Amino acid sequence: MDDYVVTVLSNIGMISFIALSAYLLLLTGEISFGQQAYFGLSAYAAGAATAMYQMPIWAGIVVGACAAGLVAMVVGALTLQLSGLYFSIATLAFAEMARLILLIVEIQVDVDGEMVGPEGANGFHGIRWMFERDISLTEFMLLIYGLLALTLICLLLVERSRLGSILRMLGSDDLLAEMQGLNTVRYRILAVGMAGVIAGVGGALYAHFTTYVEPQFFNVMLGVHALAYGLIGGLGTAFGPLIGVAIDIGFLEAIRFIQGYRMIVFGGLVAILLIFMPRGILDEERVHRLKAVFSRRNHARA
Amino acid sequence: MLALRKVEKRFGALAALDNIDLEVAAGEVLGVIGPNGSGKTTLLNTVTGVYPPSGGRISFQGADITGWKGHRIARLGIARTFQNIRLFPSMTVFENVWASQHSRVSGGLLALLRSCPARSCGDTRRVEEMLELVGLLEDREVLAKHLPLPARRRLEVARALTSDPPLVFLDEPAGGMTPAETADMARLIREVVAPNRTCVVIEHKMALIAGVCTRLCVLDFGRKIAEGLPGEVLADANVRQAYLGSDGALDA
Repeated sequence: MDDYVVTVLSNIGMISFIALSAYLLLLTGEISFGQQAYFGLSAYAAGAATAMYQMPIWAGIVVGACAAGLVAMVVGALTLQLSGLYFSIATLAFAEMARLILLIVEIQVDVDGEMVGPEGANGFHGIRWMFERDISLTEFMLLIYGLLALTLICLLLVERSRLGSILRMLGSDDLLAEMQGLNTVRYRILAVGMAGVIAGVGGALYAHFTTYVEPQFFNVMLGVHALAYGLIGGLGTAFGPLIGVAIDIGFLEAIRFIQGYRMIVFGGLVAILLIFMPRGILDEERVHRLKAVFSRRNHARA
Repeated sequence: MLALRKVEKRFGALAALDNIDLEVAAGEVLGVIGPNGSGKTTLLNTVTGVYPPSGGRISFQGADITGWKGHRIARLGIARTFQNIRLFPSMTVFENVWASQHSRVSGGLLALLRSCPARSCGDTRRVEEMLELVGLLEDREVLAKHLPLPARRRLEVARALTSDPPLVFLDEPAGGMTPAETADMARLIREVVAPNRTCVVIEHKMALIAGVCTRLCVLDFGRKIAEGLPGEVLADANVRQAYLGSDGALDA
């Protein structure tokens, strides 16, 4: 495979993490405009772990994902009283705050006579784990897809589990969920924490793939795209947001004649889908029907 | 079983519940009636923890539950249905009833990851029994939003009963129903809901009230204006005044 294809595929893989993260929150009924912050925070934390403190990459990913998850839970606890539009605005505000903090943070340590670390608006250079170990782009892509597959399997298991059903209950009607004896506050914090971890894994990979991160990349457009992927692909299954990513990056970016018009086509696509398929291509009802087709225990009338 | 002492609920300047004293005795079917806006649903919301009362105490089976969160009250054994029917529309009939079983599964975080609804987790047999009793077992795999209105109300009743709560509130269980459907609901309440538990029915339809309630309580402008046996209460002049503004007949 040539480097261009590998890069596009790797981008699809890494962006899929933030799409899954936003999707998990959409399931619980929250529209977060702030998942890019956890992606970015983790990119910085993981980069710091490997480049500044010479940890192995798995430790970097764990550090990044945990940091993102913890911050997400704190932000979640602070925004619990908010719902709907107010929650969305609060997440956006927190994300922008995080980005602005990254713009001024300068912590550098001496690594073999070279200063390495976040350098405010200049970004964070020298996350060279891949080059120091002579790992090819293709090998790194396999790592990305390995972790993506793992995340997807976990999410699909969660969806089939009681937790998945509880999260969908929260998303559908949280007063009703509360009246069924569920501590909705606790599950909501759990959900934002999980979403933070998932975005964090993607961010950690991203830092090591590009070797360089800057606050500007983690702006609100990344979060908006993450939301759009779930809304395009569908909220009925975790495969939905992946379809959304594949359509945007794989299809629109790969077809060269669309290139300059990508955002126009993408925006139009979102608008059309929201009108005709408000919960995406693979929405709950279609997923239910697909399951019924594949299930022998089919008592459905329709 | 349930006791309200001087319970108040204010929304700004409006006193939706004003100094309510009410006892619900074990085993009875108490009907709460009153004109629109008299505070019936506010009473129910206050007892079930949708919002805390502004004043007064509420106790259930000897425990003071004033100001408790809804999920704790639900776990303690007060179940309810909703006036404007609340279901999880994109879940199947079975899953909707199963929803009430989550709080009964023990085992912490790991038990959360068990697949669901599996035979092994929660009381699946109980869900099926309840669906059978309300006549929805055939439709178990149908999405809730595809059910007609009377079936949705029966589904809510099944969900409320599946956790086997000692006390059940039904908020206008026959709302929007035809006379024949209302009679069906009355039979369901008498034969399935009322036996072995205490029940509070909020309702407008006299056909339902007269058929199922052992005692009535009347609210008007957030105050309790009458309480007693159905025959006495419906003959009460204050009640007629509140309901009809004059001395018309109560036969709707």
